[in-house]
Amino acid sequence: MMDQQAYELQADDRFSWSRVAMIFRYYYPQLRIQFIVYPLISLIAGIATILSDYHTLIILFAGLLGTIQSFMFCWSPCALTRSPRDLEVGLPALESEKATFILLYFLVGIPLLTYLPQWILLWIFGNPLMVMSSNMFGAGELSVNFLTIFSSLVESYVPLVTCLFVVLVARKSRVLKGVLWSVVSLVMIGMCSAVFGIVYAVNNIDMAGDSIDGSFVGGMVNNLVLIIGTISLVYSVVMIYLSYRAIRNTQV
Amino acid sequence: MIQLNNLSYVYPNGFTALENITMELTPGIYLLLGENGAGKTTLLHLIGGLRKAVPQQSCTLDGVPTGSRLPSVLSRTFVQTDDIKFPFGNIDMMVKYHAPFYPSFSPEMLRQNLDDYGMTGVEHLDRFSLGNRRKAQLAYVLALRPDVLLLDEPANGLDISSRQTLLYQMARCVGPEQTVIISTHTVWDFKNLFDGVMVLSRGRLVLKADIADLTERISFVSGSEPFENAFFMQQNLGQYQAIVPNDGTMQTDIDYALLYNAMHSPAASTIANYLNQI
Repeated sequence: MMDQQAYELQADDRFSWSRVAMIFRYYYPQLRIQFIVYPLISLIAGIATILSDYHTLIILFAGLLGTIQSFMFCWSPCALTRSPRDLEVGLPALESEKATFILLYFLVGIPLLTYLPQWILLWIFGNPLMVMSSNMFGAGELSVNFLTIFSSLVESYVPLVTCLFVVLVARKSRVLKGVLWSVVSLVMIGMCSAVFGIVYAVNNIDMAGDSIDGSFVGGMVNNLVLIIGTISLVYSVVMIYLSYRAIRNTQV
Repeated sequence: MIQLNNLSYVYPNGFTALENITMELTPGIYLLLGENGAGKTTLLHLIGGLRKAVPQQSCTLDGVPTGSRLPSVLSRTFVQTDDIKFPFGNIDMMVKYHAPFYPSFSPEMLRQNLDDYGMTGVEHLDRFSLGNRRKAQLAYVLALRPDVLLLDEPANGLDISSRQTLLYQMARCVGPEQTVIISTHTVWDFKNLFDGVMVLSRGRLVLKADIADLTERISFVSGSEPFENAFFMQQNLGQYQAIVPNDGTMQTDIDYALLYNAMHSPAASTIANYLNQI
């Protein structure tokens, strides 16, 4: 029989970080590959970025790794599908503890696993902000400030939270649906940006006159960052709430 | 004690799986019978907290709704579904990552159960046949020793000797404080094990009886001539099989197939009323 401590822990129905740790242990074998592969790719991407001054091919390689990292980041919740739902639902822990682990892992842990080694490397050897804005969020042309970084950060969560929510609620083909809907969410963000760009251009083209210079484009991009960032933030918060509800209400 | 109080369950698509089930289950081993789609699995899911009853108080374990899914409740229940798949490669990993949630888990019992099947716990479950995977799973869930163990067709895929081994294991592992509900269509595998029987029909509980009461009050008889005072009678290979009131002269073994057929016939209410008479 197990020790008294285990009995006491499972008899206590208050939120317990010990049980959150047990949930982490339960999921760990399914997530182990992310713990190994994600930092490794991140490290290689960091080295490639540092060495990209030396050869054009290395720039291409770094770009490729950046794309792979984005996919790894977006589709990381697919790892949850390896656990059968009846065992997961019946796991003796509070739903809030399960939700805490899942949300913390995917919203905080995954970004760190995916990008932290790279950031550390570039902090030591270069400028991490430059890399954050160019590699992770595809906004290299922007002047780096808090708003652009924050907006890009929030935007990058859109496919991840979409994938997470779909994986949590889908009954069949969870991986396929998670991947598809995260792509759809990216397309929607792209379409929002396109619509905004057209509307902005139509409304401001007269003011710009004959010459569309850098300040016109810069103004448009900054507004775009603000609007898309806001939309992404609201969307992400809603999806996180829905994911929490899905964890609470899941039935087999 | 498990208490069901007017328990009903309607699926989101509108299908009523269970309707107004009221009963109390004290520790013991119960057989759950019912036709396909009668609601047996749904009932196990509700008792095990995998589904949420509405209202939650309609399904409780020692007064606490199982649908609340509190750790103190879930750590005392386990549902072994027919098609359950363990997320880890082998049983040892289940012990490491899953068993800590169940304070009653007994590693010694697990070793003994695995030994019975000639297994060690390190074998890869995915490389097992269906039957061997099922044996390993049963060895594990019996060793979890939850207060409420719910088994859905546990003998599916097991060969004859493994079914006997499972019977011995259940007799050895199930303690007097445990409630075990076995939903199965192959009743003869465990027929000497049951303390009680429940029969579901189209989502309704048509019978809940202790085996001792059952054998005391009714008899399962067969003969070449029809029985006059039978509650229910059927003909099988030229023989008449019947359920008759027990006049006190003999106690017969329960013919579960006959009981099942009777409880799915118009005679069901007559038998239930007779058994409920004091």
